[in-house]
Amino acid sequence: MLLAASVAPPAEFNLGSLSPRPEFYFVFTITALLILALLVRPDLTRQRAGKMLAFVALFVLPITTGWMGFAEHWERSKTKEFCLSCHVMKPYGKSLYVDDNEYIPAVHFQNNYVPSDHACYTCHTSYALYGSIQAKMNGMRHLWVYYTHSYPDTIKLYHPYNNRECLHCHGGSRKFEAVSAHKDTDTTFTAIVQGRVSCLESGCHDVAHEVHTLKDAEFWPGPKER
Amino acid sequence: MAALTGVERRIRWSAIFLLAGLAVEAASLLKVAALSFVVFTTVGLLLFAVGAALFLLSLLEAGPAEKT
Repeated sequence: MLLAASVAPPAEFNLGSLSPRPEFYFVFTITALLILALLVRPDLTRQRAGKMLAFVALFVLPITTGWMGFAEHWERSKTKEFCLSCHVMKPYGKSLYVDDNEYIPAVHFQNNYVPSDHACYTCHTSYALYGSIQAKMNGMRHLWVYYTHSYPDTIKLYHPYNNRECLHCHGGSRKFEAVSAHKDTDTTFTAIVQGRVSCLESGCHDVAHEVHTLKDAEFWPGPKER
Repeated sequence: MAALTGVERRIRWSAIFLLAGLAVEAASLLKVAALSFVVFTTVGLLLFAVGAALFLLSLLEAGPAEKT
């Protein structure tokens, strides 16, 4: 058991809100005001200066604002709140608060081994070259199956969890190397690196989210200060 | 104000679509949720694209600018 146990996890994973960066507000406001001016007085474009104003207000600034909005959404899509905004994901968020250090995701989340606000993305994005792009493509597919209600009863990973994602942080760390099973022989370590021995499925660290057992679990109440 | 020309009417429609796009963008940024992302990337960006396209069409319709 970790810290004090609780019968229910905190209601932290409700829909959250984040404020865009200040420069976004500035560009957004300027864009809206200039467009509004041209909406009220389109005859301003009869002068050369008005034509230039229209090009900036109706083409350059909307593209800039749209891009900034997209970038904002892109960053938000990496947050825990975003992933847990689909109700089928709620149990997975709840499992992060299980008060049992056998639960690998819970241990990582509760001890800040992963950023708590980006917990899902950190572990479920491949650290390969196109990992982020691949995650976004998968995310679009997830949105589709969610809103078309075509998601399966039991959610599974596309592929067995790759040791590469574990070793991205743990590989070479003192704590990792101190465990004899990791480094006893070159063969063992090579097998881990090559994925012939799975971190999660070889009986060593095989308790992940286990959402079907949550009803009997005890929960960590969360950090005291937020 | 004198009657609007065809180009100016198109510019006005462009402004309407772009303002609608901005409204959708602002609304979608109120909540961190998958639905916000979907609404922005479909409705919001579509409105921006239509607004910008209408403006570009108005440029084609107007022809080359006269030197003042």
